[in-house]
Amino acid sequence: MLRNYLKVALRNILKHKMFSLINIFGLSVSITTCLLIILLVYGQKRVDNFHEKGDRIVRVLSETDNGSFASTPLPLASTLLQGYPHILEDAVRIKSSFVGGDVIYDNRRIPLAGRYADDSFFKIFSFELIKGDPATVLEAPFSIVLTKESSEKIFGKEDPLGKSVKLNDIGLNTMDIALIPTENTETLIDDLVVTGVVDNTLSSHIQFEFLISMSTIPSLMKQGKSQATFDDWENYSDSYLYVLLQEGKTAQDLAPILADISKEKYAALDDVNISFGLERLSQITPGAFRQNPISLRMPIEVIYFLSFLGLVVLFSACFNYVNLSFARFLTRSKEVGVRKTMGAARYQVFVQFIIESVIIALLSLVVAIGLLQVLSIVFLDLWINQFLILDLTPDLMLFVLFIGFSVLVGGLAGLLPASFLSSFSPIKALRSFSGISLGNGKRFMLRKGLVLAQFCASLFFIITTLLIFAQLNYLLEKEYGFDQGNVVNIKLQGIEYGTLAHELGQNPAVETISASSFVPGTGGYSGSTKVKTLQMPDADLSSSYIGIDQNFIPNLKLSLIAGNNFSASIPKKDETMVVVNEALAQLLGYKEPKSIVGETILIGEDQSAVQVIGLTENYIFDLLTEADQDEPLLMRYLPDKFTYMNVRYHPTSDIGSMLLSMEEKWKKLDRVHSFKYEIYEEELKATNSIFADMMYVLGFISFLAITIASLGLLGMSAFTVESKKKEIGIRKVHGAGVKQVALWLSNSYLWLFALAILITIPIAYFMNTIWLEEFSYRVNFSIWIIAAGIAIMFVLGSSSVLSQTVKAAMNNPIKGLREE
Amino acid sequence: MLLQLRNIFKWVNSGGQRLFLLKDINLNVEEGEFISVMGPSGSGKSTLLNVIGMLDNFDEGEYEFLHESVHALKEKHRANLYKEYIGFVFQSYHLLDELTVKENLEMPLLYKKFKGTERKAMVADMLDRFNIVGKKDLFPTQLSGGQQQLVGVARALIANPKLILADEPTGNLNSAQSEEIMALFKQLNSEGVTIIQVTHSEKNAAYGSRVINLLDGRMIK
Repeated sequence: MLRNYLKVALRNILKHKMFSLINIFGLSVSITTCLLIILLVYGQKRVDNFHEKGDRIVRVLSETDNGSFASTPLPLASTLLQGYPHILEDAVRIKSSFVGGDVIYDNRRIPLAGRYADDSFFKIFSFELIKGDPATVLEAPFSIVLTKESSEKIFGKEDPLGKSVKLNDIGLNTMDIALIPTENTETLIDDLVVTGVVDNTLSSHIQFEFLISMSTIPSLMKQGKSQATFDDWENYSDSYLYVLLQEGKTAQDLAPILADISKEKYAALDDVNISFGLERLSQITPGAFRQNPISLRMPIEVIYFLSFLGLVVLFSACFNYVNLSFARFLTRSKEVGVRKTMGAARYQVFVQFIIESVIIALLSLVVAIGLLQVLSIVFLDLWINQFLILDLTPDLMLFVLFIGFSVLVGGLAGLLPASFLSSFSPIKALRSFSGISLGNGKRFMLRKGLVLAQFCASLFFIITTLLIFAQLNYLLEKEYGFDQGNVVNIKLQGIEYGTLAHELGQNPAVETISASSFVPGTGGYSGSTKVKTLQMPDADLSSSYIGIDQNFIPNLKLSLIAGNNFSASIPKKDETMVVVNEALAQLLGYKEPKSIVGETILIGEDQSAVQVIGLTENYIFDLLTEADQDEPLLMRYLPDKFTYMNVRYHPTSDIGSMLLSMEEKWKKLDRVHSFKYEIYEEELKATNSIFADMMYVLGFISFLAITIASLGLLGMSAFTVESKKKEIGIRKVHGAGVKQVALWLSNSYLWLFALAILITIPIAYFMNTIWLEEFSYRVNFSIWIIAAGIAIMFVLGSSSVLSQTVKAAMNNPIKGLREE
Repeated sequence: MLLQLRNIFKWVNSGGQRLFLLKDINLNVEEGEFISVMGPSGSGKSTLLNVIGMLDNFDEGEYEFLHESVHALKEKHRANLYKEYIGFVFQSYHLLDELTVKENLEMPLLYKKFKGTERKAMVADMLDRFNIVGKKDLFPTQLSGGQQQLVGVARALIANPKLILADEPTGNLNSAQSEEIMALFKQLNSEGVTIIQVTHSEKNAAYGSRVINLLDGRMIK
């Protein structure tokens, strides 16, 4: 029986190649999208599933007024362990501050980043130790456990056990991003002894290139190299705490204890109020976002959002399948009739069509797995993904999941057509199919509804995509208000600015040099400060500030509207002068911003009086996505805040050789740090690459949704044409021309299209305005975008409809009228 | 007695009026009969055949098939009854285009829970009996009309029905092919199969043992 079904199914698929191709293509692209999402979620689920005691490991969270934190106060661990051994078997703290920098062995310096962790780390977690004893590797002070990879980087093939290394700690982070080191100071940690090598290739939310024993910190404190405190209950960002519950105990047993501790420690305090939450290891990834995360990963909201997009695409493909199937099944009513007369029961016919649908889905899966290879490469290339723990390697279980998923999709898509087709009574089915009432009743409404839904979804996607592209384009072309062309920003990394400026300034390619505390527009930040005026002592204005030197304003070609720049002879200490932007002047109540020049304002907690000597136009100093049009900015002369040197070079000069000679000079001045620079224009572009990512993802999804919807439309019009064959014939015999017939056939779609416009435009306007208003700099949501969307949709829709109707209208009318 | 129809009425409501398709049909069919139903277009021939074949319902009257009261049976029982005892032959053959001759013959057996080996034997037997072994792997579109109808008859016979219902079996065939099919019916009838055919042709009717004339849904003598 099954073989017979399979045979008929395959022959039908081969016989109707066009239909099968459209269906398989539509389903496979949408299945691909879903597979990628399944892969993502599955990969996330696999994170940390290798810990043998995983079901007993629980992370303690700090719930505060500022949100839910992944970290907890350091002393919590010992309080728990000492007080409640019947519930807790063990606990491990991982220090939240980063430890990292160049690891030095012989004359080799390898930059690595890691964490401090308690000695119970390897007893609780099942990271595999290739060398060393899990019970003791992190026990003694100055013990360091290297990952296999870092060990090979430092020692090559040498046996690392017992070797001693030094660490020049600059707080390098473990998050794979070339951010500024988290500490400005360097601490040399001497004589770390390698006690173990760990294989951390299995994915975990705890990421490190090495681990140092927590007991090292007290020793460092004695040496004066650390100011850590182990008894501060008020600092909940100090460490991450993972506890191992006793067998048979659950998080519920621990919760009341934590509540008690919270009450005992914080009830008396006014300004600190921490309660402790819990999450099981399996809830961490994927899981809700926590402040101060131990590693960056995809928040569960993103997964929800992606799943939603995937479902949208999948549903369109299923709609598509249903529509096309209805169209084609008309030609199969005879088969149903014959089978039923020969004794087939309804369920047998039903099963047959479901099987066919499942086969289509499985064939699509094969195509989809091929497409997935391409798609996952593109997806992994997305800029954002370098920050996330992504594991897309497939395994057997995954394939079972994929197949199960496809069978489900096939079954769902086939449900409606199969139940409809199997309901035919044999006599009716055997009559020519123009006699079957396909065009009336609920099902007809349902299919019209499907087409309408597809119209709406496509229109929404087209308008949204157009708007997003317009907005992104607007942002990418947005003038920052300074001239970023021909500028290189060099990170000072502790070198005195004057010295470096003197050395590098001798290069003939260099035009001007200035210094700043951060580079505007790249996400850097120096902080904000309170600003008041003598006239308005109660003003509650907080302004960002940037530390600059006297060359900064002319160097970046900021436009100075009034007053003067800092003079060359300005004293390095005792701040007395400041330059402000227009927004600040306006916010301080100067209706005519220029009039602020010469006034005295009070800045900082200590309200030190400074004179405003200059006024610049507003320029964008935040990230473009976060920038606000009227954000106040103080430009202060703060030599000890200088972190970057801005070098403007001659436009005609060879930048490559200029950088090379600069690097040589750098090496003479600083033997520890490497020369770090960014070409300003490119850095700004890179900062905005999240836009490019959004463009990719949304562009891709819209492309899919629109393509599939057009295919569905194609199927629907084929269906209309098929079911109206006879009517077309009669009309043509009585003198209707091709044009009239084609128009008459397309007419009903015009109404649906008009209805779709009425439904979609308000929704699209409302939904898109929500996100658009998040941007301070935003494109105008004009009627033209909507009009363009409608036009595109119209062209797409009418070309798919007309391709079918015109063909039908041109057919010989006798064909449609001939009875069997 | 194979089947008995007593006072069968069938109607449709059209524009507030009852339009009778069958009116007071009384018919006894003995096993081994070969009956031809004749009458002009629209006289209810096919409707009568569908009622006898249990593919269509009637509105009034009683129908007994092998001492079972069909009018009182549930849909499922009725289906089992015709599945087991009745074979159908159609004017336009109604072979499935996607299946080969062999597979078309096998198809009814699939729905009657025969085992694979049994099915094979029965199909081989039929192919043999109708002399179409050489065509077993061809698709219907590769056959002439006469050959297609031959397959159609073979398919109707394959599960050894007691009754064959044929709705203008030669309507789409030329005269030589028609004669061939009618001769086949005659032979089957002599082997004990009861046949009821709808036909327009006096010549075909002559093959049967009895003729029933219909006019406007009513049997006339």
